[in-house]
Amino acid sequence: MAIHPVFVHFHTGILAATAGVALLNLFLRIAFKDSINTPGSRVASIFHQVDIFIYIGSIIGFLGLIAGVVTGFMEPDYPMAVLEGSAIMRFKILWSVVSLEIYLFLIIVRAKLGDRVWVKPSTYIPYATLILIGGGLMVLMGALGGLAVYNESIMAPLLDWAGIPWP
Amino acid sequence: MKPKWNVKRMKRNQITKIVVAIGLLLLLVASAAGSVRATPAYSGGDTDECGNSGCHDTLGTLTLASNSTSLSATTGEPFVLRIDAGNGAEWIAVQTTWADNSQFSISEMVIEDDSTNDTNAALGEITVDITFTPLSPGNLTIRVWTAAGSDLASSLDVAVTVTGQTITTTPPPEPLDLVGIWRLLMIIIPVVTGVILLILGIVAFRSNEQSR
Repeated sequence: MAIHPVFVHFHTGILAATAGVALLNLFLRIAFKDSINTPGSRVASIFHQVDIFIYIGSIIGFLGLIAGVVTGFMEPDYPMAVLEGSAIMRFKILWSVVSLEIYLFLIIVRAKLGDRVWVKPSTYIPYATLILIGGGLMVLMGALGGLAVYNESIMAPLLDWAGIPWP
Repeated sequence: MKPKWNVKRMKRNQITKIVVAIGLLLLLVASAAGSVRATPAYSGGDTDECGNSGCHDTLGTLTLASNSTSLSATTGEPFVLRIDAGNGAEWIAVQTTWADNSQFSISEMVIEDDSTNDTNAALGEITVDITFTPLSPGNLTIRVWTAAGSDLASSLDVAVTVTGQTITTTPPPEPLDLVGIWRLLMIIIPVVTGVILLILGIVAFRSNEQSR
């Protein structure tokens, strides 16, 4: 019974959404620096709610990603020998591990610093960039999963455009 | 101003947290690295025949056929066999260590379902034209296997009577060991990522301490 598909879509969606709102927060942090430091302002309210969304989304997405990795190795039609023999699966396994590291880092940093993570460029630029990289990896691996299962993906033209080879 | 002993204690706490973070990252890398040392794949050095050692030993459900199962040939003159596998077939393989396969130059040794060389677009069905060039005379056997998940497999023998002189060929270059490279990358990339994240984390924590 295929249980991996049940787990992969949720965390892909939430982590891609997290990357989208991180882009919004990065924009607000740079363009409306004074407003977000004004308590009670609408921009400050949006900024802090999005920050919470990113934090909670990263935690839920991280747990979903672990579930996706575990169930991926449990697929009866994809034993390790088959996974190793497929270029797509090798790519997915490698960058899933890297994604786990990235989200573990983001959760630790956010838990330690709180919303002060957005105060200095030395913290908020790496923080927001890694959220965007993580979201991009999730979308890319979802696309490669679609190619592996259905032989097609809505992302295929983008992969071609970016020069990313896929079998 | 904070007393010196208090600052020292804070630094010790900071170091403890960094060590815990490094430990978690290394645990993650180690578990990932351990998980890839499983079973060797077709693309690696596994040249044992299917049906042995508990691997692909469920025979009889996959179909495997050739346009000819008995033919005559001459050394150095290539001939083509059309191999059809079906009923859920995922791979066709013609490894040189099986039967007399080493007595032939073989154009395609491993074909995956729906790969470039598979001319049958249907999922679970493979049709491939493989060119064999006999290298030595004799009554030889070409052995072809098909396999799929859940240890399914099936084999086919094609008898070839070869006449002519023995041809000595230089061995083909070793194929690029992509799985080996990947196994190496499975260690290097997560470790490098972990180190980069660690540096970013230290910078972030120090920056935060200074801004307080």
